[in-house]
Amino acid sequence: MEREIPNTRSDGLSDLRRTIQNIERRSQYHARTAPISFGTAEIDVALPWGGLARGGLHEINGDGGNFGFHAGLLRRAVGENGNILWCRHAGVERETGRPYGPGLMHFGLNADQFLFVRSRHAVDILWAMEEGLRTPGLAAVVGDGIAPDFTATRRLQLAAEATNIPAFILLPPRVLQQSALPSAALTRWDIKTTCLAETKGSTRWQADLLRCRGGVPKNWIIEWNEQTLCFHLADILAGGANATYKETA
Amino acid sequence: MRLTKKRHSADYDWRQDGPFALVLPVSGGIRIYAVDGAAASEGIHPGMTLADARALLPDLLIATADPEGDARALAGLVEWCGRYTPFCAHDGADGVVLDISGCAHLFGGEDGLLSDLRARLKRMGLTAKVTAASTPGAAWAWARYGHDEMILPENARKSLMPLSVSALRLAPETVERLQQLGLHCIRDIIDLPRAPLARRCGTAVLDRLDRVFGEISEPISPVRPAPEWRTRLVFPEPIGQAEDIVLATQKLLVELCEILEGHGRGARQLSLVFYRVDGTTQTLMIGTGRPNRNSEHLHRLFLEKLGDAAPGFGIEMMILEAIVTNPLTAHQLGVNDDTVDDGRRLRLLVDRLRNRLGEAGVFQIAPVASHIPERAVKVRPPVTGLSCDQWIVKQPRPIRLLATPELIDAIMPTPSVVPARFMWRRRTHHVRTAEGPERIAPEWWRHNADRAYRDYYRLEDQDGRCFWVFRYGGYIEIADMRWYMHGFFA
Repeated sequence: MEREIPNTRSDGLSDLRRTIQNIERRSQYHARTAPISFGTAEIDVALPWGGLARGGLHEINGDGGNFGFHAGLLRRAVGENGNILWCRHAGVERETGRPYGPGLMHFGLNADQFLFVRSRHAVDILWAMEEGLRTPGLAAVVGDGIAPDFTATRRLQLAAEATNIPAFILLPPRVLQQSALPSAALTRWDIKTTCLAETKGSTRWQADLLRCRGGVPKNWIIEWNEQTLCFHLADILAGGANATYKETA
Repeated sequence: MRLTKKRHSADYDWRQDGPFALVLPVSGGIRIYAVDGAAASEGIHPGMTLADARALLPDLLIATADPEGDARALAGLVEWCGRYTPFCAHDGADGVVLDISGCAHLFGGEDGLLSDLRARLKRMGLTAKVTAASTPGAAWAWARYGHDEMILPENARKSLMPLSVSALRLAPETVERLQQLGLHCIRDIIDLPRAPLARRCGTAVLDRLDRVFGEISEPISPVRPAPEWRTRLVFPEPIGQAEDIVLATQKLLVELCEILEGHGRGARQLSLVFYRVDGTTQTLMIGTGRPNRNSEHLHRLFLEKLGDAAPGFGIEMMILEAIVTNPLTAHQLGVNDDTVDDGRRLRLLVDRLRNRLGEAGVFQIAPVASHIPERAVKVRPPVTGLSCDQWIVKQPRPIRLLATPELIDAIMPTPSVVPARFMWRRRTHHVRTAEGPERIAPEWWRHNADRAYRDYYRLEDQDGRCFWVFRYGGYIEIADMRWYMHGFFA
């Protein structure tokens, strides 16, 4: 009996240590697992995760009007200094241009947060994304200009779930019509710009949540606020459809 | 060491046997390029015209020579000789020279090395003359003009004495001149007064003599830079299975990383050379962003490349070399995930990405102090954890920029204002609002800069899409009134 006491004691001690470690880790863990908030409660509550699930794949579709929405979402996901692996397909560059640093700054994203990967082959892009999703030091992974098939999205989704790193896919413009493309992504968004917002330098999007695992499709008209770095619902009555012409010079 | 090799073209009929020569069409007719022993004994020598040779020996078999192919094959052979020593180089068009100092013991001494080399060359179907000597000059002379394939001892002056002066690697004119003077052997010139000899026949003779006898050292410049660290693995049986290659690579890496750790170095560039049974080699290279000696990480990098490994008929030896290394102070290398920090993970990720996608495929962006939009961003190699300057953005900037501005068809009510609508990529956009202009002046201090001002406008179309368009303005004549699309907002 006497010999067992030290054993149980050390067991208790190691249990205690483990508990403390878990408590310490929890806050860290929480920041890494909390859903991505849009910064506006109306959208967050409509999603089954109370925001956008962090460990998951999200597809953003749009005919060239989706880049700002994506950048805003990225900023919401990575915060001030999270690292982003941005894998872009060289083939669609002619069509959609390259991500432009000074423009991304309007969304609160800095040059040193980005690590870019560029390739002509979609296979390489998918590989790079998966490598990124298996690297816990990253805050988000972006696949730009690729339309992965079901198997590829499944792989990315599983990798994202394992490390709790959000993955975003910017579908190439021509996929717009094929919104029935099978996919294992948690959400698919269809983003269109609508008429100009009143504030200068900000845009208004019609965001259609086409697909949402465990949730219902919904749509909003949202804007990005450069000061608070939040999305917010647009006041639909403001800034009507009148054509206005301002020449500042 | 001397090597005479013959590569036969496909048109040579192997069933026939007899004197054989390679010919090469040169200016002035077809000439003999190389001959085999049987042909040589019939009096046929390289440089003869084919007609003369045929007159001497009507049933001479010929094939067309391929000097470029020979050079390639010789280069391959030099690579292959890397199995014996890292210092191997071409020696003229038909020889390979190896510096085996400090390597011979691995093969059981100089005798062992030479007999191993001879046996392997023979198995490859090459006729080679292999000798070793204490200086490259002596080895050259002995391999080409010596009468047997023995190893010349340290003080081999006596054996070299009877050799012809052409064994000194002299230009043909110099040899001719010496022979005109009645100096045929090395013995004849070795004791001559040096100054008059140099005056009459040039200093090259003395220089070559000194090199043969080791008065002047003659380092061998290897074809590949000599690696700082290397490990080798010889297989008793040639291997070809992918799993075996992977395992062998791992074993070599563990060994190399231990050596590197002992010396406080980290590898930046590694090469893995496969020596195949048929005497050919294959080299796989990897590079890392920072000095690294973590065998697991390096192994992952190699795994990407091992897909290209072509074992052919089997690999009999593998050599792993650290070509570039940097100092890497000893530190606790993380074993479990908790101790590896994020920055390190990112660096390893960058290594993996660059290894597969190339140096240009993985990059970061950094600001440049320029108002010209396309110049404001530069691409830099990834350095994680290093913060850089930020752009100072006062005016709205697009989120996407086209690499080259695209011409748009603008329809304008009057020339002075912005377009009312425009055609771009076969779609008509009606301009709802326009903001601008923002005038960006050319950088006149740069050599190839634009000469015109650009007036940028932000146009929004009926769907709410925002475009960044410009046209040239300023002091130039208003010849170019065209509009260009340069970027997209939102």
